Amino acid sequence: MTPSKLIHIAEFQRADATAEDGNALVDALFRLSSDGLLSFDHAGLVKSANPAFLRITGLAAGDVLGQPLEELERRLRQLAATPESWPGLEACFLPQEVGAGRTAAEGDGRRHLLFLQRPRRAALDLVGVAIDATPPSRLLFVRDVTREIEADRLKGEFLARVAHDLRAPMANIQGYAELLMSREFDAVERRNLLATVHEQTVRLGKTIGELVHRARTESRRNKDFRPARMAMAPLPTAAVATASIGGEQEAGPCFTTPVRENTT
Amino acid sequence: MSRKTSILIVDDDDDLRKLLRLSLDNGKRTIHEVDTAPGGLRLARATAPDILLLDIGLPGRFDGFSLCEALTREPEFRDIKVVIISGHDASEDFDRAGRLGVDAYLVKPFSPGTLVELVERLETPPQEMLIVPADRAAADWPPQFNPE
Repeated sequence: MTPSKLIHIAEFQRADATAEDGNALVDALFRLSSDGLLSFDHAGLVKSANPAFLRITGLAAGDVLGQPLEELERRLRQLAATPESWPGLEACFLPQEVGAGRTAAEGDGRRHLLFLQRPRRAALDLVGVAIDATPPSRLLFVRDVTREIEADRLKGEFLARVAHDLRAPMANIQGYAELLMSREFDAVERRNLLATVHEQTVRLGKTIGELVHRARTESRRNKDFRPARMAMAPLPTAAVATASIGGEQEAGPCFTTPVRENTT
Repeated sequence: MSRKTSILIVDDDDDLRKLLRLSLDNGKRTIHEVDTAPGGLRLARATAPDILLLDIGLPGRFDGFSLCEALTREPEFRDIKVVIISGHDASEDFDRAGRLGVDAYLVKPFSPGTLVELVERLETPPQEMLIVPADRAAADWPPQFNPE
């Protein structure tokens, strides 16, 4: 055996070792990822599914592995909250030219959300990419975006409520001010209308003050709170005492406060 | 002598109800007001208003949309004109109002002058069918996007 051939074999061994290290790393990432990952072989059958995918979807490995895309889609559709509105798995795969050079999280800028009803209510963001390898294969990333979607919804609701709470006094202030500018009123009525403008301005100021206080508290992440030991019992009792049910008289909820007096 | 227009205001904000009344009371209109949806339905049945000025967010189990839905089910309110006055301006609210056949949606804050103009338009009997001359129609259709 010549020395040159020995060097050649050593290079192969180093390359094998590097490839093994790379595979081990990919396997670890696959197993530990909090996002669901599915790989498809060149025939389009599910080759592997990581634990996160099985946990998110509640499917068993046996339900998924070796299945074609259509069967996997059918099983996911059975779990969907609105199966008829989900465009299916193929729509989640980026076209080759879009997928190249983009991360799965970036996707094609569109979201392919699947809302699950089972095993729990969840929103999943699915992005599929083609892997340029020999033989070619595909990967499907499944991200649980339930909290993100819920946070967006709550933010939207909060902003709508804030806008409404600001607009109500503004409508009165603008309206009464315009009436006072455009019409003649006797002195008593004029004073009444001005009192309403003043009252609504105070209401508007209070709402803005509460918003600023809330924003400041959130930005300081509760640093202004000072923990103190105090009796628990009076708190729910006081809360129940101040709760009122507006509108029509009807059978409302019943509150009880079974908290011992000495609870702290 | 022509009949007075009957207006029903349903809003839980006392000050806003008074503002609407002051803005619209010109001696030629009868104005009734109430602060809940069930009260609005009762008063609508009793007064048969021509125009309903309605808030969406009302206290109790029934909101302004509920009242609107209830009125659409009763044939005697077929011709009532409904104006929603609200601080909510989400597209879902506009869509829901549109599906219920609401005639106008006024977002707070608004000028009393705008409200008066709107009510005057609703008081006016329907105009004759608008005929667009052929050359005008041909020139305007299809609408072109003009960046300038």
